[in-house]
Amino acid sequence: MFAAIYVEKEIKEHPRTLEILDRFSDLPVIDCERYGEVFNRNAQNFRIQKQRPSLILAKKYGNLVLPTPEGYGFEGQGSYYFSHMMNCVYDCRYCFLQGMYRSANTVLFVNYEDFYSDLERYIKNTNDAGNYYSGYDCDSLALEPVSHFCQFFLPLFRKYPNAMLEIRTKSTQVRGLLEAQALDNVIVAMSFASEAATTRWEHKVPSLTKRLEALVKLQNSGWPVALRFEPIIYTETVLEEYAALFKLVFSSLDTEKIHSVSLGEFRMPAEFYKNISKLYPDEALYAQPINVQEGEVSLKDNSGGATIERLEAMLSEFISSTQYYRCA
Amino acid sequence: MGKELVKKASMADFSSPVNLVVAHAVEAKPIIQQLGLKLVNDGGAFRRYQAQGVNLVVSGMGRVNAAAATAYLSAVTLDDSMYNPIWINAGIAGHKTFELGACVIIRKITDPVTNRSYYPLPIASSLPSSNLVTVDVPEEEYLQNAAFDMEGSAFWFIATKFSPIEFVQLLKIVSDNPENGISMLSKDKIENFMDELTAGLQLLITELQALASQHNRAISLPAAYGKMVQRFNFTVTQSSQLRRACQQFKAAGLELKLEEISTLKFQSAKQLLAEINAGLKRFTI
Repeated sequence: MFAAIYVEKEIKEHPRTLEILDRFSDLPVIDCERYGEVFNRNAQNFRIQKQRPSLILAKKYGNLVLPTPEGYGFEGQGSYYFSHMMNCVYDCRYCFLQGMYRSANTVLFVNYEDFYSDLERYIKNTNDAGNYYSGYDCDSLALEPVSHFCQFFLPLFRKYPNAMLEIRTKSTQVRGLLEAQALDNVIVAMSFASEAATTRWEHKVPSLTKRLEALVKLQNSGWPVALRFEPIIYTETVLEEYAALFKLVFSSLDTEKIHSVSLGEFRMPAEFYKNISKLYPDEALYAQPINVQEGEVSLKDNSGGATIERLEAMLSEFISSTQYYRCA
Repeated sequence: MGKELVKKASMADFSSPVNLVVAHAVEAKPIIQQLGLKLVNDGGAFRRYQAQGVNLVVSGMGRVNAAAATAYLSAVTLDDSMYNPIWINAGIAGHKTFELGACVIIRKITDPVTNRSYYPLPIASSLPSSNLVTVDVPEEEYLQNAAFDMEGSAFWFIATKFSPIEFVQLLKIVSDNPENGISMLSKDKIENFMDELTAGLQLLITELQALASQHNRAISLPAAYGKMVQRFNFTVTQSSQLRRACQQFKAAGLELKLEEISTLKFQSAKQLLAEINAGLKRFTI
């Protein structure tokens, strides 16, 4: 899975570090002062590095909990995100992380206790306790057997039932959740793309069927589940592909119990798009005509917006309007 | 881009040139022999050797020489390939704990003068790995559990200006340790050590070349690019636009269409680019 483990000197003796090093005892361990020496340096090639990524164990300083970008998640009460990891072990060709980070290595911040304190402070100081998102800069569950993220953070949200946690993932590593008591305020939001898009662009990601099976298990165990259909990439057969996907997904789940469903078009900051298209000049997705508006890139939609509306109409056959939102 | 380079860009060889930086002539000798390198008599500042796709420069001892020789080798070989070179610093090193003759890949380089550290990509290899400390005078105390050399950090600093860090590696063979101090080294011993290192070096080159070829294939340009670039004088910006557009045509599976465009008559580079861009606007996945 990893080529080596870099360890910041400061957390070398942290119990979580020792546990992880023990798990990967056959990997070279390389000490560093700060993770940025490895993660943020110049002249890295994300694409080449992705073939042999390393794990970096570090301590996160500063703002551990941040306001979500505009249009992310639910409207209403305060929305925040936090990232105990940076980068993703999966390799989705459309993912903005590849344009945002210089390195393909995964950073795992082991000072969960500091995240806990910050989250608790926000929960106490936010009206209605707030919405919290994990999985913006990483896949929250993909490294679960190593990170034990759920084991550590679920008790906080058990303690504060008014605070909502959304765990965004494409992973099937749900054992930790299945072994725990389900919480109404912790939502597992699984991302899906059509079968064709999954095959074409989602590398190293569990299959659509496996993800759906994991979600069904979670729902049957009482966990609120959510569906994130994004990014929608316009192809000539996009409507047929998503019609098949919706049919499969909604026939597998109890639709009334689904917490929420969202659609989101392929979109990313222009700077990230520029970086990714340089990394993958051989990728047809980045040969597609684009729109650039207010620093954001989206794919040209020849239907003039009719495609996304048609997809929304298709969704409305399965779910109520209160369950749905469109990602801005 | 020169005509020779354009020709090479269209060829189906995706390998990167290999640039070797070695401190001493006595260290370089076994590599030169085993790789069949020939001296290049160009009257340049550093002695250098060459064979198909491989360059070697003898830098001389110390950080300044290593930095200068690395930059020199980059400058004199710049037009040999359109792909970024692989860079390897190979040579002898002291080590606190490793036995004499141990061949090691470097995973961390520390420069005690600047107090900075650098981290080469952890490469898949059967060879053991080690930290490296680059010092200004031969190390006789072996205070840290690391290899010691006099060129590594400077080589890294300069080589990573010319290639992505994933293409830059250091390979050292342990020539001295606390039990067998540096004063016991002789020319013959160094040659023998380097003879052993050359096998590891060839493995490392193979590993890096596999990585590089895959990358180079992905960024390569379609044959039509070579034809078009020779027809007009493109500005730097137009050149870059043409390259990107050609890559997009290739990515979109429209190479035949691009071939077709390359045979049409145009008045200027601008007109050619407009036609190409119009072709791309019609593309949907």
